[in-house]
Amino acid sequence: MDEITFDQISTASSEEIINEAMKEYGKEILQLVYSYVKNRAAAEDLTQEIFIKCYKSLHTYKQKSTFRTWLWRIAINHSKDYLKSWHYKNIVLAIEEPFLHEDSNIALEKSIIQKDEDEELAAVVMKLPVIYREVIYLYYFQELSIREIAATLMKNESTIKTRLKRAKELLKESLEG
Amino acid sequence: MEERLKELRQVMKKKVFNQLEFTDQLKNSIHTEIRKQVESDEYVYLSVLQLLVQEKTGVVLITYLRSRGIKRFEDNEGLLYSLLHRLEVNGLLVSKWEENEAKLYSLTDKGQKILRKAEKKYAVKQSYLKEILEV
Repeated sequence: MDEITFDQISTASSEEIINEAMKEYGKEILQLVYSYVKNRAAAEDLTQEIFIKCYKSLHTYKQKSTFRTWLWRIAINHSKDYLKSWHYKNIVLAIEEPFLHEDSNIALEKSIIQKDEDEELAAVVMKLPVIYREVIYLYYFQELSIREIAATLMKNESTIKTRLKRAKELLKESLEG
Repeated sequence: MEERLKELRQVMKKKVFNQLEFTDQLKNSIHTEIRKQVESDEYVYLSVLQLLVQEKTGVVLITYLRSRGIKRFEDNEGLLYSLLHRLEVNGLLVSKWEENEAKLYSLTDKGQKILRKAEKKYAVKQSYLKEILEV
């Protein structure tokens, strides 16, 4: 009995929980992070950091929300922190900008030659400002309900509805305008 | 718009996430990082128990931990107190208030017993590591 107590605090069980979490949610967390940072290497690094953070703060998980929602919140906050970081604003953006231009040129040529509608939809969604992109992503890709999105992003349901509506208007403008 | 967005899931899988895989390599790399963390956690717990064989206040304990190279509590005393609290709830520690209003922590009998077991376990692990490194 004593051993169990020591093992509990010695975190052996936390490690198992994280292993399970990776098996269950690894892929969706990676995709979620990518939807924010739009870069594969960065998404992989951040996903690693997110699971380590999750391991470290496991004892703060209060079971008020589902484990998945709790993990998602960590992932979303971590991704947003990255987008706000000095490194991202000063280094990543500076390096990536030329590619963005290149991309849009290619996209333009493509749209003249042959319009791939799927590609266009994906591209405009990924170009939405973060607050609109995330609600579109959570609603249409992850198929969460308005209530679940509100809980995950810690906002009112009415805020989520407003953003979703605005996001669709923006998408419509870019696709049809 | 609504109709097109209904296809977003398929579209994004095909066009955005097609290069994105939660690979075994990534999984292993996370696993390795967490293993390091677990090992250092074990060392921290063991040190706390060893140092509290003789009763100490949290402030004094932090100084001793620092001398063992454990710095995680330096700017985060709350982390130490939440650990001490958990150990107390689990019956490994008792605390009592000193006259000068500092709380003194010390091991209970149960704590002593667990410390002896943990030391054995840790020693085995260390000698195992040593063997690997010396070969």
